[in-house]
Amino acid sequence: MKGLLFWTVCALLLAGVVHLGYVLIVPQFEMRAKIDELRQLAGNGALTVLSREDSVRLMGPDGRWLVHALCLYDLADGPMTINAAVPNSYWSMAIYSAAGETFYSLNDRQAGVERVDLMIRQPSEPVLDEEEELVLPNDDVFTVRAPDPLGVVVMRALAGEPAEYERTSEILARSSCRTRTN
Amino acid sequence: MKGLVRFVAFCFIGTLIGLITAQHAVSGRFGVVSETRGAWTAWPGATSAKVDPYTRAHHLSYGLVPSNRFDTVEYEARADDAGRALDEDCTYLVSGPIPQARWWSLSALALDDTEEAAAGPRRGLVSGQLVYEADWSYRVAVSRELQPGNWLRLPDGGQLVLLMRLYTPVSAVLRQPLSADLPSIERQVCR
Repeated sequence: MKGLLFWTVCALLLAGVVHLGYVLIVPQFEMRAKIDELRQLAGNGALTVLSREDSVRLMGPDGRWLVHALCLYDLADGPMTINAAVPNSYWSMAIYSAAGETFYSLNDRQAGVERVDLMIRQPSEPVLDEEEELVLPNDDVFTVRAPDPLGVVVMRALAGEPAEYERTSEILARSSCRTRTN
Repeated sequence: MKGLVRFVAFCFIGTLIGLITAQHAVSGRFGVVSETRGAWTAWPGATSAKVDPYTRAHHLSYGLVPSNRFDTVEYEARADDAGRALDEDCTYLVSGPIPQARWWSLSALALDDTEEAAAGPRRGLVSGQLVYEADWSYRVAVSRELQPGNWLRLPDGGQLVLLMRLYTPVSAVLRQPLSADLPSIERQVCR
């Protein structure tokens, strides 16, 4: 009886470890695998506009009417600057860490401009609070500090009608991502 | 020998319990971090300042890059209003008022969809393409068979999910996703 109790407690402890491991670690592996898949498609440090098929496959069903542009970064090479050309209609920009966390977001209403300049800085640089990061500094460049050196910037722009998809893709394709080296 | 058998058996049982409870928690079936109203389930933690691990795991569980959580609220329905699991052989009427968001989408997914099937025609609708009623409400027929008016095609099989996304919703909906005007899901006929 004592032995059975011992093994039951062991099994429950193991269940707890497996449970937490699944919840905490597996998603990170999934996101890293997704970033590797995106890297094969888009490369590092360059902007890539996805085809409609790739948008649906990688981003989900809304890829039918959301044009997606990606930029993978590795801040070990230096800060990343993004110069985004954006349409007049809905767009958003989200930055994901390698762990799958969305740590920064901007959309057309918040930005209120036709071109967006954004710089992603190294994790070791000082933290800015959220309010500070949303305010345009004097040189009109949004700055944000990433929690990890690796991640991906995803721009989404609405093409509500099929005919708009190509035109919106062309606008996003005028954007650029560059690693700033000093 | 008996001790070894016990060790293996309890390792197996412990691992199984851990995996099953984790999958249930991540899929929202425990309701620990997800909230349900009618047929729709939302993860309120997704739009908070610090996302809990279960919500993050849930949004990565489809193998897709998650939506922009600062800007988008996501709802899932795996059953109709009466609590019956969505059935590929049935036709459903999804209807309701326009949600409090700038634009929105409704998609039909199967959890084991192939990429080709998921990208198929009529598997998703966007608010700008819908035909609305005189009072600006909408009605969408969800079925595998062609339907008049707004038609969303159900996948051919597997565990079915309706996914609704609200883009740039009003701030009250971002804070409390289930305060949004969500549509009803009524089963009409089955083959």
